[in-house]
Amino acid sequence: MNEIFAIAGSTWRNILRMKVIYFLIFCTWVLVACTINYDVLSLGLEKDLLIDASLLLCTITAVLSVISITFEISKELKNGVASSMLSKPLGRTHYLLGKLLGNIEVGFVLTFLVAIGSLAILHLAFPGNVTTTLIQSYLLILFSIIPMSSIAVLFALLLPDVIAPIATAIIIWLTFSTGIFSNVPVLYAGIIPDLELFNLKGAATYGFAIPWSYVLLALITGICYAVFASTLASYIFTHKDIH
Amino acid sequence: MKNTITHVIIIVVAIIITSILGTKLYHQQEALFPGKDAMRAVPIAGLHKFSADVSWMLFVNYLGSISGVNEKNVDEVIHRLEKLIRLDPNQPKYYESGAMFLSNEDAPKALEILQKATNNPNLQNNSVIPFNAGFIAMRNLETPNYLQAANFFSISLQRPDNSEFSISTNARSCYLRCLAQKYAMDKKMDIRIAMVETLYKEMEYGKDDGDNEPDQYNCSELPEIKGRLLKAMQNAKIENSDYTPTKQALERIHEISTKVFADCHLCDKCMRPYGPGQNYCSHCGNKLIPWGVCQKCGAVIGDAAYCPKCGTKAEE
Repeated sequence: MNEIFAIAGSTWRNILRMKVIYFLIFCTWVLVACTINYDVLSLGLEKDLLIDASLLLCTITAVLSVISITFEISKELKNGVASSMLSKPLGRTHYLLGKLLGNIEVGFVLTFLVAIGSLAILHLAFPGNVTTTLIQSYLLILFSIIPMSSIAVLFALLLPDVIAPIATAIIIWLTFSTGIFSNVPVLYAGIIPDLELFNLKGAATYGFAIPWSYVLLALITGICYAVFASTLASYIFTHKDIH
Repeated sequence: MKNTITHVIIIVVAIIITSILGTKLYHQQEALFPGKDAMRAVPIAGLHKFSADVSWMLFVNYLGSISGVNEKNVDEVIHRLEKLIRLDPNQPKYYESGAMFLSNEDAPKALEILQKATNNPNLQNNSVIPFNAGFIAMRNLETPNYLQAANFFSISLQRPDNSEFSISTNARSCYLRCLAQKYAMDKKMDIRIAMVETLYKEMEYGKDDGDNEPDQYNCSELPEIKGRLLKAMQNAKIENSDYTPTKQALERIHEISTKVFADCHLCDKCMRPYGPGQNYCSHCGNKLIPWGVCQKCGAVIGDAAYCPKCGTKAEE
């Protein structure tokens, strides 16, 4: 267990040490704050725009942080860092879980920073508009990082370093638009995760009530999918030759 | 081998649980937010709401670039509006403002859009949308559909009035006007008499269940309903260049007047109320039956039980 946390720790420290990330987070806050000026052009819907922009930027932050792991794992496998690491008494599953956990941590921290800044801006611009539904929507975006990270890990192992991030991005895009599979139970929201289940951005703007049981169930679903994808990745990884 | 079996078991169990939970969440989401399913068909990675915001600003910008909605650009306006509604069917502004832009050039389409919005369960507390729909059905259609309009106004009145300007008063007037227009068309009578009949029927609401009536808003409890009826009766009695009340109409007005305003003192000719001791109507000069006068000394006593001048007990 300690090895997993050690790898996770090094993964998220590597990313969170980059100062440019904090600059980008600051830029997202500026972007969110800029939407206040769209009152005339949106015919008075600037508050909706602010909330939607903040949720959009949160999602983009989550997706980008997830995609970063595909670069990381692919690069380590290509450069032989992983093989030297795996020559030590460390299981491949440990390595994978460490990377997955590290990536989830990075995603959580970055998305949380964007969310908390956006909420502060919303509170300052439109006092009293920080609703429970909005917080739940941010939480659901945070939780969506879990299945997305597991997909990223799986693709990082299956595909070459150039293709893996692109394939991950395409799959994430597809998982938000899986309506065509809705009548195939195991495929839909099973092998292909349904990330639309984590998308209640519309509800956040209008303040529609979301039961906490829904949020909890979404978290459990995300974890179950991550178990599926990471076990599959682990199985493939244990049977893969690393040069 | 053992390792492989363990992996396979975990994979199978995890995928089954995910599938069961996913399906459960899917149905829960559909129950919580009807219309979400239609949004899934638009593959824009779950960014429907933000895309709708951007499309709305482009729509506003587009409307600003044209001099008005006419037959040349009406299709483009409809296309943009429908795209907006597909992306976010729950934004009332798209209907309140967007559909109204269409109302002059393509009223049936505007009405269709507003009808869908009226039925949207997430907009059940919006009273402006059904009001606008009723207004279009009443004013903008080539052949006004008064029954449909009355239904919309009725829905609007049954919803909380959260609009910036209070629409419930307007909605009530429009609702009654539509019912009267419908009644006038059905019975081939003048709108003034139809209005009297409608208001009387509304006052009697609950006692009478008409077959052809819309899902009615209950006006019978309104404090101003009697005032409205009186005003309608006054209008129905006034003769002018394009209107002369028929004998049947006058008899009907008299009949309603004796039922509803039995405790009031109204001029027979102009239906204006008159005060105690008045022998002639101050409005039309018609001879009146005076009331509130002491039988003994002739002093004006109004509703008093005894004459303050001679102490005679007033007649009950």
